Amino acid sequence: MSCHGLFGKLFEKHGRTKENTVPRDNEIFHCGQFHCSECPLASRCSMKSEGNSPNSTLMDKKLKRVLLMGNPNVGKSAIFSRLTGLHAISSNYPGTTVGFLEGSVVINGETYKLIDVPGAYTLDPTNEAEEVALRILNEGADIVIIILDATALERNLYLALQVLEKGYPSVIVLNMIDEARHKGIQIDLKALERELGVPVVSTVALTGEGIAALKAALPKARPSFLLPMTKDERWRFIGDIVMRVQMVTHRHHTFRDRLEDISVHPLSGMFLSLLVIIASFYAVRIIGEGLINYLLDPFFNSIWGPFLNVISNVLGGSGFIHDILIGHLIDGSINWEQSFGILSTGIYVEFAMVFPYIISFYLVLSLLEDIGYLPRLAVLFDALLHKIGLHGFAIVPTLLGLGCNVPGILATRVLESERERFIAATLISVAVPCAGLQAMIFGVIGSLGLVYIAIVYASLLGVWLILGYMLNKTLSGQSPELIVEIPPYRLPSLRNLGFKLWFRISGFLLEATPLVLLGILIANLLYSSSVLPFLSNILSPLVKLLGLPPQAMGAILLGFLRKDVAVGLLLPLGLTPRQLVVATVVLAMTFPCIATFVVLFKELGLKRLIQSVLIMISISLITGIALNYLLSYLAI
Amino acid sequence: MMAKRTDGEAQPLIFLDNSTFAEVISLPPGQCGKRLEALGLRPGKIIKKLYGMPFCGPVTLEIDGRQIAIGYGAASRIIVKTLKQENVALE
Repeated sequence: MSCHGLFGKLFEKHGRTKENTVPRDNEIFHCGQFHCSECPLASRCSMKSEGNSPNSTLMDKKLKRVLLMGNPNVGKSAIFSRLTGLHAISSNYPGTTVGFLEGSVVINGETYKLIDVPGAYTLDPTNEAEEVALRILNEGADIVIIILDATALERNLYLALQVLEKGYPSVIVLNMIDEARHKGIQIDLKALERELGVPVVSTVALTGEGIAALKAALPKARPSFLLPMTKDERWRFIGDIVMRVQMVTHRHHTFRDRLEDISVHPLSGMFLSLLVIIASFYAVRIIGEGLINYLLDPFFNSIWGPFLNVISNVLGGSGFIHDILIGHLIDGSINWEQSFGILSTGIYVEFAMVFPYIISFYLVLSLLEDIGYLPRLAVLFDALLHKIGLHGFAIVPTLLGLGCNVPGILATRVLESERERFIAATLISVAVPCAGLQAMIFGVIGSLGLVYIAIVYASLLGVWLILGYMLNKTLSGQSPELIVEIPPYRLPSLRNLGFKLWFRISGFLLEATPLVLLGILIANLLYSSSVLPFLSNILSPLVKLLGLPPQAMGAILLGFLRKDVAVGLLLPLGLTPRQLVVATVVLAMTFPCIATFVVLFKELGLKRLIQSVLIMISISLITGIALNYLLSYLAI
Repeated sequence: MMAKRTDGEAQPLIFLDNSTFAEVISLPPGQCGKRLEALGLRPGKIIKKLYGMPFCGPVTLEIDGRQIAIGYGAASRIIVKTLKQENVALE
């Protein structure tokens, strides 16, 4: 017996989805494939005793495997969220779901296991997402919910027919029916049902319209009478269907049409993108600073500070435990940035310096995603990105990387070739600073003046361009062309925005908190032991070339845990502005933080990881040394 | 270098004027063609070229009421035939 039941319950209980990575051969990814004899949780499994009873097969059969399939960006993840009440990340651009998600839904007392399959245009795979989709379908399904974009019926029907021809019991969903009405497209659902031989319902996943009808239709799913066709027969049949079920009436151009036109026009599009980027930057700053000034600083100064003072007094104001928890008192009191205790600087760095910018960054990015602006940026940046071996769509992982490198590198899966994924992932980990690092760059260097921040960003941008150009010239092969659908602009749904923001922020808190605290702990232990002087001694020639004091090496090495904490470690060293700039740039570019390291290994494999890391270390040292000499030449 | 052709003749998509309608004649072979086909671009379909980006940037076009962007290299291998505006019953 399998452990479906247990995991189904776990999912419901925690209300979280489990995001799976792309399955490779011989790997077991979700519990549905575990058997109790192999299951690591078997001893704690509440189902085990029932599993041995004669009812076990019945229980197993109860969980029907339901696949959500359709073209990219038709709203599969939105429907998944609506049906399961779980949070799948959905955005207004193709390729948001690169792995697959699963959850469960109960209808009329029957539990269905729902799988959100990555978007595919065809079952004749042209990219990795489509390969995954085909593999999941071939593993079998009790029901396939085929989701079509009602505004592009003809193109969407191609995949639908391919799936129907396989003979799985199916339901067709015409999503975004509101959008179709807006475009003057009318579709006769009953007629479509007759043509395809399976139930057809219409929905608007963003608002929830039609979801109840979909739930009601699920038990009525049935196999279609369609037989396998050749490609040409299929297109001809689709032409006939569309002629019989769809009516398009003329409508006048709306404001949105004009805005869509302006966004991809070579001149006005560039101008608009400049406006959007500047506005986004200011929005991130204003929201982040607002949170710090009006919420977090008051909290730390009037509540958390006095509380720590009490603990500090109880601990006697000094000693090993005091130094670890509260840190060193500076002029007799706790200094949030320089005391370096777990409860003082550790908590402060994460919650009052980094966290506000994580919130504001993801709010702005999610808004741009849901409006549908990112594919337009891809069009505008395609020519530039071609010079560095990527195509325009690589702008999406790069922007995600500005929040955290991990989702950025995961998103490189939307790129078609291994060569492109290597270039994009390496460039993200070398030259795209995550929000935590950026918050600290602004927090630490900002007080010295904007020019120093500009030097740091210019160095990163310069390296991004030069390294990309060099990789493109030296790696064999060619990068594929941009071929992407530009979705219509949509008004973001607050519900989806809230979901996504919560998902990303809680992800940050869960993953970053232990590492930040561990980083501070290790820093304290290292400084009180003789390991650091030893390492600094070995590396002293290097440190001299970079123009840094030996202690700065400790901060750079600790960047492996968390880059934001590492920048914080530079503060108590009393560096000159030049040293601070050089150290920050080296820290940003060198060895990835541990989370990025793990995801690079998973995505690229060991050989590529080693290449990537060697590139990072050498580029960071070259840049650091060059920057040191350049800045001293310029007397900065 | 290829010379720009006159209306009515088959020519690569990149040479088509902005805001003109055309019929798709042929797609590049291989994976690239398959991906274009998946987006609804097939011989015989009618498209409207919106813009070509400068510096060998992508071409944006409209097909079945949707916008698609195609990189310069791929767009240069898509052959289309210009249609006169009055003959097009697209919208």
